[in-house]
Amino acid sequence: MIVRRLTGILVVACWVGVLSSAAAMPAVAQPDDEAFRVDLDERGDAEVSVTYAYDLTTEDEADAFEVISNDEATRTAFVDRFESRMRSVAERSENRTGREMSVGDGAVELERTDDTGVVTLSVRWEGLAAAEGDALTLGEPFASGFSPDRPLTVSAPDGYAIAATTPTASEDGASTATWDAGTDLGGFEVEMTAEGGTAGSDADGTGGTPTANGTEDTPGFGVGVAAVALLAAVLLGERR
Amino acid sequence: MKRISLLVAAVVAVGLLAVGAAGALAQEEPDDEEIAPGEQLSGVVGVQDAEFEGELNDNAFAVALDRADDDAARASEIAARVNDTETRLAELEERRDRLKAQRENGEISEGEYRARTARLATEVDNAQRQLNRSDAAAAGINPETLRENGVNVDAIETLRRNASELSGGEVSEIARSIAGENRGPFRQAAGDRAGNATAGPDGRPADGPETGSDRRSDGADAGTDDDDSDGSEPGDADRNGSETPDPDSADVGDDGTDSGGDSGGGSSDTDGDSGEQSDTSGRSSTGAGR
Repeated sequence: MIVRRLTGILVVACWVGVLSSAAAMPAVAQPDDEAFRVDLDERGDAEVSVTYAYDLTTEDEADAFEVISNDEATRTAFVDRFESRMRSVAERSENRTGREMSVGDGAVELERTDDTGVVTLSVRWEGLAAAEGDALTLGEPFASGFSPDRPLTVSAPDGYAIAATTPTASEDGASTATWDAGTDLGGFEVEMTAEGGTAGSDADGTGGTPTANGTEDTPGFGVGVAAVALLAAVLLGERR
Repeated sequence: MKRISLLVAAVVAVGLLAVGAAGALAQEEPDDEEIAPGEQLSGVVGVQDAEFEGELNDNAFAVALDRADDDAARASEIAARVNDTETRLAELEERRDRLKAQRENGEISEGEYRARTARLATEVDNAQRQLNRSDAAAAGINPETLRENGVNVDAIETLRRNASELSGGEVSEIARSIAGENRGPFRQAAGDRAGNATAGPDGRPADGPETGSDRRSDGADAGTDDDDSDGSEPGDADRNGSETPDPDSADVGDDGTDSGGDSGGGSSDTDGDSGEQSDTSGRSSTGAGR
């Protein structure tokens, strides 16, 4: 009994020690794990995924990750929120571009590798890029203040090549481009063309044809004009 | 007659103008419009990250309490967590002040401010929830044992108030504008697990002692099992006759303070987590530290 209690105390002491040192450790970057990916198809629809990495340096954390991995309700709630929030971002993007968009098929994958828990959330985003002929252009929502805290990678559909990127990508391939975390993505645009196609430079209409929003700037206008017109009409009538 | 009609027309016209002006104001009010899609996306990515982190910490706390052999060990765990949460809250307060200053100086846009504040709000929720869990877990332990192991129940209450202030007003409003109404823990189960782990009526963990060899799977299973039992009465089990609020009531209080129903606040740092949380927040601050 005494031995058992002593063991318990020792275990706790070691554990507290481990925790203290964990708390004092500097942030451990997981550049290979954390990512924001956009995989487009030829219609401009995309699989959009965000990958997060969590340090599982203690047994408690590792067990906790396992608990969540096995907890269907928690995973479902996590995905539902992501999907709903991404839908909200899509609505804003839709307003900006005038292009119809929709978000669905949310999913989550949890995977543990050694002392890292990797969580990937994904949605299918229809209408993310503008498709015109054999060209695709991706702009919003990345062009309007998106500040990547992990690398952003855009992959062109099979049979497409990336023709131009703004800003210049940190890593460039024939069909993928990656911007490092922290890159200023102001004016973000990626032009993709079907290999053998002719499009390329005129991807403009995409990036952001402003929509109805401009008209919302004058909400009181119609009513104001009506009021003034009414007054004028009555005054005119009075004069006669 | 003409005068009357002129008067009526004038009244109608003024009324119309007033309606128009009110409409214009109403349209300006929703600050959400100031958030660009990309800014919101940044906020969403951050909030999701912080929420999962909170969930991980909730569960790690539950596992740690579950794993502890006796009240003294549980008290040590609680003390460490409360200390970590205190540090965490101080960091969050600094970050909030920095964000406000950056917004005022024009270093960051309103939308950017909102995106980062939404994440911050989620982290404060996590810290709040952690304090609630700690408080609930402490309720099942003899006050003397708590004292001997460094748990100051009054300090927990003070920290909860601080957290509540930190997440009050604009902060939780902003979080809602970025992430919607539905925020906070994914389910109460994690907290319930923490509560139950503290607690049979006799103060023993509901699961009973565990052997070291099968702890890992037990931890996971215990969570699931507890879930079921928790489902019915999440926090009462841990009482020991103490008057300390149960986890749920604690959460409810916080929710009331913050934001309707969503929050409950998050757990935050398990010690281990705290390390982890610091790391993660380190990551995010790096990311956010544009």
